[in-house]
Amino acid sequence: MANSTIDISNPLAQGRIWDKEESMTETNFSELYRRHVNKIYYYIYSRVQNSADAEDLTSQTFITALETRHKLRDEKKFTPWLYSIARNKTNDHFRRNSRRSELPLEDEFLTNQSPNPGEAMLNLERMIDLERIMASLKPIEQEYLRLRLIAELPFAEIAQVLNMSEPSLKKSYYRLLERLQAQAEE
Amino acid sequence: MEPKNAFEEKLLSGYKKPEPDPNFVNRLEVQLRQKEINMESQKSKVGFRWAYVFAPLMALLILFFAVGPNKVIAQLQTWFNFVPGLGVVENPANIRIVSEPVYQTQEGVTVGIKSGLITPDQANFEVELINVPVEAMWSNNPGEPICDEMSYLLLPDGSKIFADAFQFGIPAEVTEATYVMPCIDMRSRGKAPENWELPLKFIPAPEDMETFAITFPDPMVTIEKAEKQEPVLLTEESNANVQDILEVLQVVEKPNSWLLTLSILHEHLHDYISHGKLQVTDSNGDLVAYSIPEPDEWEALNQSYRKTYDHLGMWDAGGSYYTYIENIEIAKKDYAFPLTITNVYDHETIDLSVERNVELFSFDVEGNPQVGDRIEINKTLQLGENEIYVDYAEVDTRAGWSGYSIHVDGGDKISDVMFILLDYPSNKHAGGILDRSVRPFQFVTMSLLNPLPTGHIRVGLAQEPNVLLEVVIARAVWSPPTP
Repeated sequence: MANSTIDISNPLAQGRIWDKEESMTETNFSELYRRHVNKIYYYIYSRVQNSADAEDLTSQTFITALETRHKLRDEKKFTPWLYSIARNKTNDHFRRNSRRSELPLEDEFLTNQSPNPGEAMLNLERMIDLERIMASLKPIEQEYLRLRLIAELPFAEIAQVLNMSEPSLKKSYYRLLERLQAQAEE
Repeated sequence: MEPKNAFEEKLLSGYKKPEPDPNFVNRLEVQLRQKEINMESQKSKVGFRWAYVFAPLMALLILFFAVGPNKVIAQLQTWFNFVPGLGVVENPANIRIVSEPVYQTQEGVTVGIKSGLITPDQANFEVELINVPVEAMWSNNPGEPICDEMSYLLLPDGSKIFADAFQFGIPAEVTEATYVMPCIDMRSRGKAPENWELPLKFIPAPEDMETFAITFPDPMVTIEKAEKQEPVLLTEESNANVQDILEVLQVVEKPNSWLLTLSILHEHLHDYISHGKLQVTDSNGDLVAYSIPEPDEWEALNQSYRKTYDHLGMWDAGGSYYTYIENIEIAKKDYAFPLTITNVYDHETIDLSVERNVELFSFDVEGNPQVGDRIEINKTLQLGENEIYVDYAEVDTRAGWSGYSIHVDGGDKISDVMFILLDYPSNKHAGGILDRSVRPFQFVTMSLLNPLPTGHIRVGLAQEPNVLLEVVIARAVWSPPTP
């Protein structure tokens, strides 16, 4: 048995002792939770645009992940699997609330400006252009930007979340960026 | 974290991440931990994997004693049924269909419901679009609003069932409804006729309608990833890797044929591109003929496949484990079983070391060029570690846009590049590989814009080249279940 440690400041660690060998082979859920909770929240917030729904859907995402983790064949795929759950939960949320439409991505760029007024003005000028450009984005293209820029997932994991091959994703993503850049510079 | 380029940083510069409330984060941690403890205490001493084995056995035993051995197989077969041309149902006793195809025409565009399959648990409608102008496609109208209104069924009492709820079925008492399509999916608003209304009647399916049982050879299949070989450059077919990564995931047994759904575990498929030349041989090595199911059957097979392998209900979120579906139909004959099914895949990557937007070659166009005019290039280019040969450019047109189709020989390693006319940037491209199984790779790349530029045309890369790493032969072995 390897040396055991308890982090009593961590509520998830209380009541359970795990050793290093175990954590090497099967990452504890609490560790995974702490590793991902902020970014999952960012991702969901970027779609629902309010903290109450973002908290609710973040909770649902992690509870589902905990309940169904045994179905995950490969622990290494935990991250894309978790984002798939988050994405699905958010889709369900919009289906249930069909009268509420999902805010397009450009709105979140506009509503999350820098607190510095001067900087905010510069951003606003730039974002007004981006708003015009992004208004034509397909939902899947908005997902590329969310998962790449907001959730900061690597391409390999975004490809798994979106069920596409990595080259195909990269190609689509860079074509999108190229298009946006060209339009922004017009 | 993968590095971001300047434009990505620019996009992010106006975005401030909304930090979650720390109280919420801590509260959820406690809640999850409590749930984890509860789950652990409820676990039986039977291990998880054994539970998977015992669950279907117990179900079979219960069936065995409840209905007798002769009815067990029949009972099993009623769980999923395949209805040719219509779809998959769990209970074939309550099938209703759309009474007849219904079409509406506006301004030369026709929208119709070709068929429909309705049960209390699910509904599928086959929508047919005829003569929708290509100019209406959203991608031809950048910046303009896209159709974002969902189709729905308008019931006689005024209530609506939106398309994303069709998967939950339509109540049995609903015998008629109007299929309302506010606009056509993926088209720009106002560019194609809108406000379609198609009156439908739902009638019981004919009693003699054929349904076939679906079986799943090994639904809990455990797949060991084949040992990965170092990427090699293919020089001969004999160099190809053979890997047992193709799976027969479901079989529909029809009176005279088997419908097989083949797939590959998702983890094997990053960067793998099918040649689309699937081959079936018997145990003597003799070729076995097969056909591709009709589109209706193909769609129905995919529905069934998704129902079975979508453990978490996450198909539209991309949570599937299997992908790259192939469906084939094999006539029943006395083959030497087992059959071996193979498909060839190219394993590729993108060579990000090659620089974009740098002049690679140029050509001159005088006067008023016409479609089909050819300009010889005849230039070998070094792209990273590989060479391509640019053969010629040809004046071409696609969907009302103009451009130069640039014909390229990519050698044995480069299967695609995307060129851009450096002084006339465009975000519209066309082209692709001519035949993936042919070496050297032959492909065409085209940058579309109006009007067609003339004069001195400088060309660079809009996208880095696709580079072949290896060729993989994926293999599955299958025999029909013994009676």
